[in-house]
Amino acid sequence: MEKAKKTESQATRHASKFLTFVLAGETYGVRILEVREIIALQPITAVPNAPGYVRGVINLRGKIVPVVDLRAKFGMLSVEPTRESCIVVMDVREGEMGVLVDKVAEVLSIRDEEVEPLPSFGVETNTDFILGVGRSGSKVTILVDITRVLTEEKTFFSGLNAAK
Amino acid sequence: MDANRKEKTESMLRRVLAALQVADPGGAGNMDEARRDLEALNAELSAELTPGAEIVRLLGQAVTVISHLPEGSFQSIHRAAMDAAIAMEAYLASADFSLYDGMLEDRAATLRNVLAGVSASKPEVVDDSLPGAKMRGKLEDLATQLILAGAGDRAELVKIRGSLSKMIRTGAMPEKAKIRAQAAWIALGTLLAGESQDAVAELAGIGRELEEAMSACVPASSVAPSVPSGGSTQTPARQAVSVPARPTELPPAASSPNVSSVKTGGGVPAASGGASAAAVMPADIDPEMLNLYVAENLEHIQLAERALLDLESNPNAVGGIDTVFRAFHTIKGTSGVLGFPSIQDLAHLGENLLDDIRKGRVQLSGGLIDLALESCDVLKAMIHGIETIQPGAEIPQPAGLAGFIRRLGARDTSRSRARPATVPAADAGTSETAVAANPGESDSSAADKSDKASVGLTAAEATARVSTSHLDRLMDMVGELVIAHASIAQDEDVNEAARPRLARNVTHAGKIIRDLQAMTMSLRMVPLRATFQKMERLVRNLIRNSGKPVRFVTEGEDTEIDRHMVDTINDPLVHILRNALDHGLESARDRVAAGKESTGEIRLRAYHSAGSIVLEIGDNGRGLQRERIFAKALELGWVSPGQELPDSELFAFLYKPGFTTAQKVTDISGRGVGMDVVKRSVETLRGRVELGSAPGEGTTVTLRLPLTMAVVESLVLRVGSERYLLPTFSVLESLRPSAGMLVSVTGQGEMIQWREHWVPVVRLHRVFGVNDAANDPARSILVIVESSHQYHALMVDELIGRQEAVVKSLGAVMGCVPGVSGGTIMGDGRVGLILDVNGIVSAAQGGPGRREAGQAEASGQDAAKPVAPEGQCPRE
Repeated sequence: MEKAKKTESQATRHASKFLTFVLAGETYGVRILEVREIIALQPITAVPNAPGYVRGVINLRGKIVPVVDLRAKFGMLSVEPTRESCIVVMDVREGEMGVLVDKVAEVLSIRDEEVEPLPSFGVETNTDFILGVGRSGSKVTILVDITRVLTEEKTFFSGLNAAK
Repeated sequence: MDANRKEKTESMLRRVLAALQVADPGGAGNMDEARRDLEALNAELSAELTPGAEIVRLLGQAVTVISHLPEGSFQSIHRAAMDAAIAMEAYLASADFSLYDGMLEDRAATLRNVLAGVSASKPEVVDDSLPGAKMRGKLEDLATQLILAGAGDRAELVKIRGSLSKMIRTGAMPEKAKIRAQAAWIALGTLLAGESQDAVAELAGIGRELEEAMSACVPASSVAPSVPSGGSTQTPARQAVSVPARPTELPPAASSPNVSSVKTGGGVPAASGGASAAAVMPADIDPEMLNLYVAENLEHIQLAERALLDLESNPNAVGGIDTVFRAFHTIKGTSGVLGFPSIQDLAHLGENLLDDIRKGRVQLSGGLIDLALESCDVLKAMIHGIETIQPGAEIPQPAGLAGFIRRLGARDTSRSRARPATVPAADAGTSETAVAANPGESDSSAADKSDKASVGLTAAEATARVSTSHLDRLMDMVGELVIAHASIAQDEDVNEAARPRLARNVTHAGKIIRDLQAMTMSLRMVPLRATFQKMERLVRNLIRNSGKPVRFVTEGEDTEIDRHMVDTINDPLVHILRNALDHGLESARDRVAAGKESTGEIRLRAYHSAGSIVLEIGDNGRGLQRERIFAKALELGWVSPGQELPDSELFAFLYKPGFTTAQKVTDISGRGVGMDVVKRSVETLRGRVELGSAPGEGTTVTLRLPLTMAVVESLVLRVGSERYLLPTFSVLESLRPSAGMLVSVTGQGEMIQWREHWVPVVRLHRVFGVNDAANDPARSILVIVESSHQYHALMVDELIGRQEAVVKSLGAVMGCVPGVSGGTIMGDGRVGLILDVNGIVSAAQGGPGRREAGQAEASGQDAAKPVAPEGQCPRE
């Protein structure tokens, strides 16, 4: 209960505009303030011996930026990028970081009272990085604390790890 | 020499040594006994021992004059005489005289030169405390600056002219030298006014004038005061000093008390005593170093203040205390080096306070934080005060300093711990008298001085400080521009035949862009020369304060390094050099006892090696003392009794905050902050520190820094569908192996014979997990590489070409990837990875990729470091 309150207050305190994107049919949202830009898929240089969810690095206007495959990070099945795939460049504590998503959907305004805490899925599932579930009309968006996702090393939702 | 005589001579020499040890300026009578001993010794020895007799003669002279000298000259002669006597003692005690001949001659030469007031031929024994020699040194500095500046560098010339005029006005310069210096000054003015026909020739003329002035300062031909052999000199030294104009005597200004006392004041505040020591700006201060000193220390104070305020709101943030402590420590150190004893003392007291808090001896409370913040304010005021005054002028003391020091000192004296003899009780008194000497007038005189000083200093500000992050951005954007231009130039619409004008314009733009790129690049890279010079100056000062005879050798000052790194390596270098001098090198006596040359050596070397910039700081001192480190670690509970540790693990304790094996805290070092600072600074550059040591032979600290922004000439390799860049400096040869060349060993490793060596083969595609690479050696290329004096053959698919690569970091998030030293932007805009041969080799040898993560920082304060665990580089 306490955790629910905390996550709720986090969602309340920060901007209520979210960029939403799709991963394996599910819609996720990240705070728009953490998004630097969205770029089309471009050649990614693989980095040897990097963690499985790191796709590699790209050249962002002369700066080398790592790209994380969010599917792999979430423990979902990693797929080959499609024409719709794109890279969302995030501003996280350590610098810029790209996130590979299936496609970008839209920018949603979600009012505070529309954000609800995530129900418990049992002990095995780590949902710490989820701020809550946002409902806007009929659409449901899972709101994600992207900084937390990108800076913690473990793979979330470890049950379905298909990173290899 | 029979045993009886031997004993007699030895006992005489011991008496001389004892007399020398207690000698002090002004204590004339005490040396008579020593002189008589020396005379007898001389009679005893002169027939058979040539170098020994020479030393005895010189000692006779020294003993005669020593007690009549002003403090500044006293120190240098005293030191040289002590050295000589120690050497002589060792000489007499040894069975084989020839062993010591060289050393004795060396000592004799030093003593002779000091007596003559001439700097010896070797720079380490240059004696700056004699004003004549100092003037000469200053003029020499100016001459060097002049050479470096060249005719075009107006700003620098203006600065030189300013310094010159200051010297003429304030310096105690012989009349002849003054005339020359004035001539140079006037000529510089003409040159700057643009009235000269041939600037280069004019400049050479000015240089010659300066040289004339130099030689007029201290006549190089002068020898020891004309004393007949036999040490039975009757020339009263007092007379020698008081007749200034005669060139064969000691330099004229030697009797000027304030100049010489400042020198000693920097190193041993309590010993120098006297009010004047605390309050005068050293006359030979380098304006550039002063600027740097002020800027850096104000920055440190700012950091300290912020940390203190954080601590107030959150007393559990222990890391904050370390920040404040380090700030005070650095201020103390640099103030000591530049000769601001009052600031040094205050910082020392502040440091003691923080040390107590850090070690948990006193409870952190609001009152202590106030006290610490107040210290910051006072320090800030004092540093600001220094910024605006002239060399040789009095340093203004902020009102209420004495009271504040007393308060701080009162807290300090209540400490139970034994404190260094150099600082405590006496120093409140010292500073107090400094203030009392000019009661009430400090404010007005300070304002007065700041007016005058601003004139001298503004000329030095002709360069702009640009943040390195801006330079990084500029670099990135120029790189991007190059790539963008390439894509336009390759566009089929830009066709020479169809659109000649467009094609020409595009080519022209390309040229400009290339120039721009070269220029931007050069903004980032600087040779280490400036750093080395700075270190040389620091070390010279440190050597002088420590009283140990030390030779400082530098090598590789042309090694280019990223500008950003230059700023960051300063601190660690200073700390390491201090350690080397204070802990590493033994005293002259101990060295002689250990059968070593009494002059110690400190080496600073820089070079490029296997993708790194290596800075080596070595000394030939006693080496790290395993037992002491172990004992200390035991005391701190880090090891259990009897535990066996390899050197590397034992030495790693030295990097921990608060660890020191020094038996006493001196003002040079010994608080155990040093190596901690070193490690941190080097880690922020993603480099590493290695400690090497051999008992009795010395210690070497190696800083291995990556080439973050350095341009690396690379081979572009293909492995499967991946491309990598291999720095060419590690490549020796490439070859296409024939079928039978690879020899397998127990099915686990492969090797080939290359020249006389058996070289292990590293299949790059295996190390890097590339699936689509050729597996058949006959279809591959072997690149022979060298790393850490070992050869390896990297197996790759193809060599594509060469490229000048600008090394970029893969970003803090990626941290250190084993085998990859960074990335670069390739011609097609993609990222290419630059290989790190050392890393590849250790990865191939089964070194676990990231094993060191987290292990290094057991102390806990670093847990909050923003860099992810990958930030630690795996090392062999």
